[in-house]
Amino acid sequence: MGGLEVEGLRAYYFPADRPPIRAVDGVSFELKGGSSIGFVGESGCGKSTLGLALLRLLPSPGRIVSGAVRLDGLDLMGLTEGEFGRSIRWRRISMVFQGAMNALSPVYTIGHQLSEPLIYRLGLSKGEARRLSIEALEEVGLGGDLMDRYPHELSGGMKQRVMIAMALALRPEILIADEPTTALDVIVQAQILNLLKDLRERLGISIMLLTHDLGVISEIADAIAVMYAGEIVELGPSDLIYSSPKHPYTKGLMAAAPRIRGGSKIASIPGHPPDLGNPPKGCRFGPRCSAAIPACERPPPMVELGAGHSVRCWLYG
Amino acid sequence: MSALPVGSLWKEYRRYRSGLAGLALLASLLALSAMAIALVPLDAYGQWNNPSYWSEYPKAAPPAWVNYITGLKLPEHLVLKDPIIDRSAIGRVKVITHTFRFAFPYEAFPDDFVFKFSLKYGASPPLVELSAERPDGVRMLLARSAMPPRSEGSEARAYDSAIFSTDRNLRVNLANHLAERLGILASPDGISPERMIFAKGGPSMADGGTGVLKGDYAFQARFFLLGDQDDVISSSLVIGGKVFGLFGTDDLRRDLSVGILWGTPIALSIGISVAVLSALIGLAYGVISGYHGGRLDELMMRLNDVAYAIPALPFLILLALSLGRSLLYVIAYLILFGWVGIAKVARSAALQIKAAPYIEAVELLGASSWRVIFRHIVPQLIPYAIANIALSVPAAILAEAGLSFLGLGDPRVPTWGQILHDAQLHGAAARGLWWWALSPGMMLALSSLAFVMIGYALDRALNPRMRGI
Amino acid sequence: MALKGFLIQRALNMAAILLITVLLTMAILGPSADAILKRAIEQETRTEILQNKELVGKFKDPGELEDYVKSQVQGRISSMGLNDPWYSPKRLWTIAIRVMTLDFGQSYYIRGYGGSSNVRDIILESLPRTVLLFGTATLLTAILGILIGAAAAKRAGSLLDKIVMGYAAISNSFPLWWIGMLAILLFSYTLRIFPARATPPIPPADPAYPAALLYHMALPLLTMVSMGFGGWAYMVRNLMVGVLQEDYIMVARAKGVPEGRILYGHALRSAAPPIVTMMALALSGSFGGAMITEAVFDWPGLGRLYWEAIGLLDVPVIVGLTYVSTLVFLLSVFMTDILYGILDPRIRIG
Repeated sequence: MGGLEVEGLRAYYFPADRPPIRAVDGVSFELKGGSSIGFVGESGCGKSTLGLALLRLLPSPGRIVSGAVRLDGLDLMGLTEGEFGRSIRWRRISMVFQGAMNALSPVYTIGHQLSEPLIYRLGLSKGEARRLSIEALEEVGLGGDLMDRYPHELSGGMKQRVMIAMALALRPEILIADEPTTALDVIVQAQILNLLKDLRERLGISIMLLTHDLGVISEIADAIAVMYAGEIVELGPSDLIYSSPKHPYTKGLMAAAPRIRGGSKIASIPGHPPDLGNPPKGCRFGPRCSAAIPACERPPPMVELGAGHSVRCWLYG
Repeated sequence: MSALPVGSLWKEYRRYRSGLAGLALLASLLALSAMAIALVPLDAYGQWNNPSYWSEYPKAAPPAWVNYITGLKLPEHLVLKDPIIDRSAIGRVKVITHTFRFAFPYEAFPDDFVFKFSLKYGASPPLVELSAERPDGVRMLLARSAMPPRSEGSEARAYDSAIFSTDRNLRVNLANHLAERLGILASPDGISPERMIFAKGGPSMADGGTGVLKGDYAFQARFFLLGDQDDVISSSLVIGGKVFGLFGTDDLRRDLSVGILWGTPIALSIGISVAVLSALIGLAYGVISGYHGGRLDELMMRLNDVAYAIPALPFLILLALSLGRSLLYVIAYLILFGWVGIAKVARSAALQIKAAPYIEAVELLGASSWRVIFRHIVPQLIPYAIANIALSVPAAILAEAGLSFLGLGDPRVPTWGQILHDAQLHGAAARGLWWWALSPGMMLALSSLAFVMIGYALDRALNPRMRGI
Repeated sequence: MALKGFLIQRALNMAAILLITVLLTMAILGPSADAILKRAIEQETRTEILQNKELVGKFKDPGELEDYVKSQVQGRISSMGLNDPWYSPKRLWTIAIRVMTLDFGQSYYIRGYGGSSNVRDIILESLPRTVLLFGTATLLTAILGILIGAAAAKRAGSLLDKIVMGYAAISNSFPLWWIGMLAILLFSYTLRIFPARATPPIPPADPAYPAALLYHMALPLLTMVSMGFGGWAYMVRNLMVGVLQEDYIMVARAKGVPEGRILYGHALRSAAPPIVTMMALALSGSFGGAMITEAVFDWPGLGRLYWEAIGLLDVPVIVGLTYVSTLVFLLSVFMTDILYGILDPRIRIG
């Protein structure tokens, strides 16, 4: 249950009179049921687009160009819009969006918005939906008294919890969490992460976490995928990635994270991410890489390093 | 609020077809203004309210091009001022002949005609003879009369007179013509000169019953003068038609093209001056209020609130009634109500900008308030001000038109609104005088449209969120 | 936040603005109106006296007669309170206070249907008709504009959207009163469907009056609505396009909320506060333009009354009407604030 296989997924944005922006350019990974994977990378690396693409919520002018997505063997790309909307979106795969600040409608109460999927998708009555919504609130550690409040009356952390409760309303198998802790202070961050972990254990959902914060990943992810410029550059179990990062970019990320007992200097990665409308022909990290070799003029393939660890770099194959 | 340099603003603006169309429309309006100033004599415009200036024009005549659209060819109103002049003599008598030739290809009779002349004579009164020559060669004597004698002296002095198609002696002469040439006995009262002259030959031609004879006509006036100093100064022939000119005429015989053409530069001047001055005043007011803050700001904003709450139209009317309606005053009144909106926006912008760190920095460096205002705040507001001006122009033009429509415009300066006021007064709509109401309103609409389109495009070019939508 | 405190503050604000408006009106009108009125009174009195042969016969000396006339004129002027100059505090103050409490006094020339010269009665006679025409027009325009604007926002960039935008631009440029003239040309003169003058030819007391009024209202109403909804649709469309781009719309869609609910529930409600502001301002703003519109169509409402009063310089009526229109405007601003609070929960608390 909740096993996702993604192969060669490409999702581009096609703005008027400009070259297409290749936001997600050939992403492949596997999410085992009940486990969690964290996608880490700078903003603009494509992780949000990946999440939206998986739920077919890409804003125009975005489109999925190619690729295969299988949920427990079911080919999702073959489904029509209607079928996907009815049976997959929010039901089997759900999402907590970036910026929960704006993801709740300001003119309806929390209770109303929690009840909406129950009423419209499951056909429950208002009374039943209300009951279940209160339960959902309690599940995420909030009181039922929030049912009649408005989003602007809630703190950031509370809103985030409501978003999570809303995403889980139909008991999906997979939850995609896009930057669930951004703009929250550290204590609330920890609370949210604990909540996610707790939900994973109790409900057995698979979690796909998208974030730029290595610290968040370390808390919750079984596997880590490092994304750069629309591609996965390193993929593997989290302890392996942490203990021995292989890709120069991953190494750079690790080094850039401030440590309590580390040196006073924070190493940063020089340069900036490429223009996805016109990405480099070879390795996309090449221009910024301190270990670049002539081979990097050609795009490197994903290289298996064993124990589920793979890396996209000429240095290793 | 982003400050775009002019070059990239133009590039962005160019992408909007509506904006370009607006500019094209504006260009044609400016061309029309130039045409008006060049072609239409200023005194024609100044004489708008002088009925005698327009006496030669037809009353409530639709535009001439109506003839091309409807089947019936109505006679055009003809004003002929350059006769062919011939001089000869019979013994001691000077014979001066003025001949007016014109084509008459129409299918309906003229309303009337008038032959006006100006003579100079002394002791011996001259004789004037008017006759008409038709396309079928028939010549009709219309009038033969002697001028009144002079009471004193033999000095040649000027004398003006006219022969009207309604004069009785024309009917008598034409009755004679019928009797002598055609053997038809008709009473002079049953004859319509303006019809008979232009009618096909036949028994019922006295009142035009035979239909219109199309072709080239000539009206000839022969002056028999006796004194040495006597002469003909000028003469003119007006054939009263039913259609006239490009825009027709109104009930007071005024050529509407004069008002409409000249209305263009007037409307544009009013609109632009009101919009620009309102924007300048509003900007200054808002920025000063916002930048200074404190009690001055509160006071100024209170004033702004009051000005905002006062209903504009009633007060415009009251002002126009009490203080005067000359054009400059009207512009002043419109500005009085125009600065309010932009002042409010400028103030909140100033507040926002004032709070920015770099302003603090500049102030700490010792920049004076004026410097901060003019070098840092105002430039950021310019794009907004331009868009605001573009969108304010139509409001100003329409406001003036509305005031004039109510009869409160400057009576010496006919604007489109004035023309429409007269139209409403004379019940043009209910009487079907569509050309009187259509063209001035069309011009108002086109002027507004031009600026609205320009304003919309400016708005989109300056506001990133609206682009591409 | 104390609702009461808010209300009181706004009410005081309103009162201050109303007072200033009244004083301004009187200041503008004062000098000329006074002179004209005094002259009129003098002429009227003089004629009245001189036509009374009996009275005239009692005076032997023309000088005495003249004095008598003058004293009568003076007496009348005093009784109308015109003795003090218009800017004298006494006059200003008494009139201002009276006006604020809706006591507009007696008109100079205009009379109501029953012959009353009480300005308040005169205004109240015409008020309902203006409200009927403009209220109905604004309501219909708003509804039509909102529906079409929302539909256009949903299909932003489509042909429908472009047509709506184009129509909005065009209908905004044409002065309503000119379109009114054209409408009369077309529908009254050419097609003969509607009457040319919107005033029913029968008196209000006639039982057939309401039906006649509605029939005569048809042409102005039609013209106003068709010219008005374009601007509304444009504003609603722009507001909605902004709202439809918000994240919570996408979330609602993802959750499975039906499109209709999204458009009219989430999106429209979110855009409602500014729309309501527009509606309130349109209602009161239309009163300002009412004068010209009523003049073109010849509708027997406040606008036409105002026009008459100005033509006659009937100062009490002018002052009363100016006050009423300002009052209506301020009240609608006031109501808008309250409505805004009700509709947008964000404003209500905190």
